[in-house]
Amino acid sequence: MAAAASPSRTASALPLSLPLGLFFVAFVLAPMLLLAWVSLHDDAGMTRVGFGQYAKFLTDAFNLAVLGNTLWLGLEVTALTLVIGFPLAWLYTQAPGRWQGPLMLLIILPLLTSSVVRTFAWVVILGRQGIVNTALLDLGWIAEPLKLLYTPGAVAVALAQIELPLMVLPLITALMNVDPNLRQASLALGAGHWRTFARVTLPLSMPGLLAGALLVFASSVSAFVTQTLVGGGQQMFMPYYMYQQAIQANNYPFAAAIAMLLLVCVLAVVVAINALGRRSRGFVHA
Amino acid sequence: MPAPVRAPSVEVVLDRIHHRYAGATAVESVSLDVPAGELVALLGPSGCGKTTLLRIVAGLLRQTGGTVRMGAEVVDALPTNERGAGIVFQNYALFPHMSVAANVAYGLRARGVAAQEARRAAAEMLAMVRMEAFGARYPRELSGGQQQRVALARTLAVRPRVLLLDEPFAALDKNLRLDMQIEIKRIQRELGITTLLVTHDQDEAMSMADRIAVMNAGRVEQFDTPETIYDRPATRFVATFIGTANLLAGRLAPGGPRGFTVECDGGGSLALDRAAPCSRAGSVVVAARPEHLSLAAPADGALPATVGMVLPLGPSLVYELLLGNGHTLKVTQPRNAEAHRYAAGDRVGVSLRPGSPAGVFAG
Amino acid sequence: MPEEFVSGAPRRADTRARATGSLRGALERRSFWTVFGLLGAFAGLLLLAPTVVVIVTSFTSGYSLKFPPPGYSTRWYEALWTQSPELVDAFLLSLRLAAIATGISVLLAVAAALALARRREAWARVAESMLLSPLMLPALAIGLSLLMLFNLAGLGLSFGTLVIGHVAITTPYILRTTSASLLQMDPSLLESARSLGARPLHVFRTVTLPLIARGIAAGAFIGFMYSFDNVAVSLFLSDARSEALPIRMWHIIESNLDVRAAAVSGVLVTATLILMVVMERVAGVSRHFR
Repeated sequence: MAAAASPSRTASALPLSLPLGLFFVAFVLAPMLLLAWVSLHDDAGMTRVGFGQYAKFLTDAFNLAVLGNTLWLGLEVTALTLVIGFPLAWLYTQAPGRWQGPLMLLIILPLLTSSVVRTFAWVVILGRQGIVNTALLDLGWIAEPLKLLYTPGAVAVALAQIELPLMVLPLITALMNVDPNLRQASLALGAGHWRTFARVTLPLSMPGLLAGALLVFASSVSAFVTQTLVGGGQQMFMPYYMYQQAIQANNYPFAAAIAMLLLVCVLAVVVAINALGRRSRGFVHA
Repeated sequence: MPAPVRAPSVEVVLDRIHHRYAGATAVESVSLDVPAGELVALLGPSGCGKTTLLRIVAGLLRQTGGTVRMGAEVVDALPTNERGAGIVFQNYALFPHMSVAANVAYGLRARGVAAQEARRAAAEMLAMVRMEAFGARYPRELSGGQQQRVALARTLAVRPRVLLLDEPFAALDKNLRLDMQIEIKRIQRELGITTLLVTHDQDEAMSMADRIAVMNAGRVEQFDTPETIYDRPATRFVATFIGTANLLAGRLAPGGPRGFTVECDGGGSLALDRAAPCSRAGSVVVAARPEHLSLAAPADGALPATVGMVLPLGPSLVYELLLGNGHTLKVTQPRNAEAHRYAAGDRVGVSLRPGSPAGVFAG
Repeated sequence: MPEEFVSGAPRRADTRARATGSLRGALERRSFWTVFGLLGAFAGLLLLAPTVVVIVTSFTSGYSLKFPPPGYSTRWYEALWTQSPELVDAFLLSLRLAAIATGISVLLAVAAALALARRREAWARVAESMLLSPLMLPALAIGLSLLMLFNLAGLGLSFGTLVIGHVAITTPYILRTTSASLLQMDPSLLESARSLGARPLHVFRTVTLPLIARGIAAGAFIGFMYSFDNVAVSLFLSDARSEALPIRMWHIIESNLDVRAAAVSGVLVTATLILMVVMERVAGVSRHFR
């Protein structure tokens, strides 16, 4: 697949990759290192170096709650997208060819629209005059509009819908890579549909499942717009906390520390899931 | 959901099976009667419908017409997992994430057999295919032949009443093929299990099957023992698909030195003892195998031809002859000292060896 | 008729044969498909519903976001067109920003892809991973860190700094799709072109570029949309004069929940949908999502 590089081609690789490389170093790597450096200052004025910000964060109950809420949100959303995303991915693979095109576009469309638009839609749906409330009122199940917005559950549900494509797409890839004969062999051996799903389909689609889980977790944990617009001020999450500390409180070191902690948590989950993935990948590619 | 354990050895009866898919007919009015305990090969070129037929018997495909019976039971209404038809796929379809032992035990566990009992039965099965030492390995660690044996063990572990094999040897190297063919035939005989084997390799079908169903474009052209198919092909397709056959066009008339004569388009005539399957006078095509023709000096009841090339092939000599109308003919004869050896350029007369069959088909 | 059709691609009709068999078997099968069918349909509906709701709401004749709307009219689209200069400005700015950022990104990323995509050496693999890393990092962190960098360098925020931020987050997309295209390209095509005497630049222009054009286009499309829709980076790097459309919308939604936000959403979603269908035809964009 990759052609071996001849000496003349090695020479040309450098000038071609340099522009982006330099850009990356200057505007991604350096800023990140700067972020880490800034977070290692004990005061907002940035005079003393130290781990003060981290200490402050990790010893304060409120701060820990913010971190906890954020991570928990990530888990909730991942679980939700998994439960409803898997059947959708499964149906896609079983659907006749001419339905797959439109279905794929339906799945991808949310990814290409702004998170503001998507979140706004949920504001409309969950608002006091939104569809859920008017439906419940019309049915007579409630007397007064429920406060659905600005609850932690609302954030999870809205995010689950918004991040759903990120779970469904890798699952579709994984499911399509599973040899259809395996499922048929299982059925021919006498296994029922549930058993076939649990013992054959699910384990073999694990790489896709983990890839999707990773994407959804990382994305929902950083979903600034939805967390803030749907969550309102009721619950504080790390992204908004970071923004608030940086822009409103002008406490850059603390904001940087929050950012670093968020990054570390996401990275830790990425590493963990990748490790799990490596184990499962081994037997899937027989 | 445990299905009852089926005893092997039932007959399989296909009654006017018809299957249309995407506007085309894959299988057209196929009726086959496979006696219990026999190995029947479904033989034909790519696209002839043999795999479709196999999948219909397995229950993986619901045919658009006709019925499938196993023993006395009409099985059309039964889904795959209740039919008792064990199928071994061309690519073996071993579960890559399970060990060999787990693969073999899978069907048993699916039917509710207790873990320990399933393990024991699986080990027994593996021993039968001589893979007992490989229980803890994973499919990706096995060679093609080994994987196939495991796939077979897995299918047989649930004691299906019918065994279905889909081009089982296609993925193996030539050397391994013969060994595996013998192996599978041995197991099939030992278990007495009714077997359907799909293949496009005629040597395989000829050597393994008790009976062969030669298929072409969705229809069964002939269903007979291998020898009958070779010696007395029922159609022109069968005559040319199985073995090599020379095709001679001409006009058939009764009479002549041996009972029938065919006036060949290339000049000359051929005398035949029998005219079958077509015995009506008129335009015909005669299919004669190279080893059933003999060469002699040009004579009246023989086809005049010129020797083009002489090739020694193992124990035979292959003559490529040129007929009057430019067509070629292949004749083989054993290479020994007694027979006269012709050389390129010699004029000869070709005739059918006495007692040898030749197929006569409507032209 | 090709034998091939019978093995290979999943066939729905195969195992869902209209067979009945034992009652338990039928129940089992039915329960499986019912559960999966319902959940899957629910998921599909969930994907679709918000978009539909927004579009319907945008045609309301009332002043609030009540759903279902009391009546229908296009007044809010008209209001958008005639009475919302700040929204139109923001829209044009976002457009300009996305176009420029994508343009620069294409140049940077295609060059890097050409250099790195097909090399096996360790340094190339590492370099490629690093260049793709912004895909994994929270955009907020990138935005904040860039803000700090610009502060440190004494650079005030401007349209320029916004462009830099957007280039940083869009290049990975184009890099990824272009690399994928390059990997799919048969290397012997280049070798035969060269053996016929063509110079490297000529080979690039006449062989490589046409073959990876679709990949580049797909990446550019995804990058463009991502930049246009972006909030995280824009939030940190916008100044008062250059506010991107998503930020403006954010303000509207947060403050007075103006129905114009619905109209803007309607326009954006429709435009995205049309562009998506076109790009699917032209460049097969959906392939790059899988």
